[in-house]
Amino acid sequence: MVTKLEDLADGIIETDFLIVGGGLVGSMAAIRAKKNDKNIDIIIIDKARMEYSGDGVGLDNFNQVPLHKEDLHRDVDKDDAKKAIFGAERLKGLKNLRLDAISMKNAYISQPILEEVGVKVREDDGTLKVLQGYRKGTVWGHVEYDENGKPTEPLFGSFSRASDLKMKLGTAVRKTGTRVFDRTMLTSIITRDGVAVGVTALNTRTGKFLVFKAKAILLATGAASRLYPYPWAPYPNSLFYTLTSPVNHGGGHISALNAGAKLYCMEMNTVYNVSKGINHSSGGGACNWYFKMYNSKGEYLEDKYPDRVVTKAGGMIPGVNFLFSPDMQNAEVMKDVILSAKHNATADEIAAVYFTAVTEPPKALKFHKLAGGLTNESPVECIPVLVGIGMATGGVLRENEHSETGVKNLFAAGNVTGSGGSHGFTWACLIADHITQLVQDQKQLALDSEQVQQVEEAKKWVFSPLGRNSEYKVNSLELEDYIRQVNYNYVGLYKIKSKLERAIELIKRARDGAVPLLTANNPHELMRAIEVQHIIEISELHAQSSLMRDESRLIPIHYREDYPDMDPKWDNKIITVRKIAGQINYDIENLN
Amino acid sequence: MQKVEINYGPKIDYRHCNGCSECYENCPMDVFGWDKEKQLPTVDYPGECSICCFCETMCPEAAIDVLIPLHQMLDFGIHPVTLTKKSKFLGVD
Repeated sequence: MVTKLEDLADGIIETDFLIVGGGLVGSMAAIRAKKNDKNIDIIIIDKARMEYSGDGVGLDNFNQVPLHKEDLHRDVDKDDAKKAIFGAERLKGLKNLRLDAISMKNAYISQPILEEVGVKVREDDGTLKVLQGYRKGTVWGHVEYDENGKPTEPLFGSFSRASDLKMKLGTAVRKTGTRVFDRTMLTSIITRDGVAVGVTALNTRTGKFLVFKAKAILLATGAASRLYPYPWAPYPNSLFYTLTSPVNHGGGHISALNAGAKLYCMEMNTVYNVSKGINHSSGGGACNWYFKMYNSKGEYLEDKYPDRVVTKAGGMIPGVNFLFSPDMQNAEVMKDVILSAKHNATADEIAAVYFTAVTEPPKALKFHKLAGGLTNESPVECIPVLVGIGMATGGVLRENEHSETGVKNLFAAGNVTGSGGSHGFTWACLIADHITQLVQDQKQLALDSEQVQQVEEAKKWVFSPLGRNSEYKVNSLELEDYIRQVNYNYVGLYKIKSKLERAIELIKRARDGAVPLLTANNPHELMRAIEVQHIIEISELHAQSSLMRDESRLIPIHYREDYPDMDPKWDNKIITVRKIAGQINYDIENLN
Repeated sequence: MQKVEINYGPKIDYRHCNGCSECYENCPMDVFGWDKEKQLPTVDYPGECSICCFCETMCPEAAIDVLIPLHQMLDFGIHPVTLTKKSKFLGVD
């Protein structure tokens, strides 16, 4: 008997443009596409609730915004500018320069939309305030000089006053007539001859299994945020206490991989500096973004290690580089207690940290307030945190100038591609522009028997843990805790061959031994069961790619104790992952 | 040995909750459930709370306090006694 799609799905919904994930990228793309053509039919599916999902609650700054010199509130000297250029150069080998150039050229594209929906990005006098608080920080763009040796564009992007950004975007999205399916989790991408034609999804409240058919799909599912535990708290509160949104577990990564897209730089786990306890950027704000860090001898790290603002090995973030100075084996943060010098911060700097805090979940302000505010006497400890894959580089590989993946009509932007924040905004607009045209010219491809089979397989996989009748029942959260402990203890900051091999062994053991016994009692628990399977898959890619890259780069993002230096043979090389006939294939490719 | 309990996440003060369902509708981690009979929210998965505190700030009746895990309180320098004074965060004594 031939199975019909109608028999498999609790609902079949057709649209022109399907957006997976209602974060900054997804919301912006919907608004932009509807501006281009009010008749385009758009659906956003979001695992949480669109207005409160994603990494961005607000946005404290825009990167790369090409402001004019008169907007500069503070001059930047040439030495700092040089360091900034060096900072941008380091990522060349790991980022697609062609795409970065397109992003730079269009960096301003989203700002008018934000202003239109009521987000305050300007000062009251109409100027844009340049982000000046990063202490001698880096910039991801390219810098040019005028005849006086001054940079023609600011180095740090601009402050935005977008503390209510997500709410305003969400309200604007709903006004456009975009259909929003909250609590709806991506479970697979349906393809036909290498073209994405739809997705399967699970409503995590009702348990309904849905099929969405679309002419074009944008994957905006965020970072793989749940690879590492918050290491100073025991199970279970180590699982969801993440820096980037714990809603984002990497489901977009694995769904794209299964559909035929490539992933890249899966060894590159972002390392960020935060204040111990808060685990958030405003905590990070207090760790050398705005306040200096000092050790037990009272030495300020940025004065002790002036050359470590950026490092030859390419550490990403100045604060992190200082923590791991003078080198990984003798890192200050591993040998000493590092505190944040808020006691001698200026009023401007304190204001800047509060400014960052209001763009984060309300937790940030609550913590500061309960601890007695930033001006209290008790210093905050600065620590590194392993974020996951997404903020810096790594994720779904975009293969053309439209930010399309290796699967035709499947586009990706934001942290799922390793390029988040305001870069995601830019790409959301560019992709929306392209898709507005694209959907006019093409018809929805039919879902034939092969696609129905894909849906059937997805459904079987999705629901297999539900009410499983096995003697030993594996709890999803306990398994997730295990796998994240493996990542922390065997992959982590100090990678070494023997431990990486052991990690792979343990991950396989979890996959083969525990996954078949995963048990869920309701749709909510089913969501966690699906998530942990994705996290296991990503963890294996993370460990395997880390093992393969026998050098260190972007330290401490990828540091191999057994290969502590950058190796020129890896210049401009990325590790890509692709699934062919169900088998994972690793390749080394030239990105640029 | 003491029973292991989850001592953090949203705590609903049902004396004030008006059943508007904002917390249930909006929680990113979906930790709330819904009591259909009483038409009130419940906290079904406190262990999955990410302490974002959206529910606490969106609740129109200020009926929710999100309790912070002990580890994070001690790490960040928040005295646990602070939390026993309801809604100090909201400026209500």
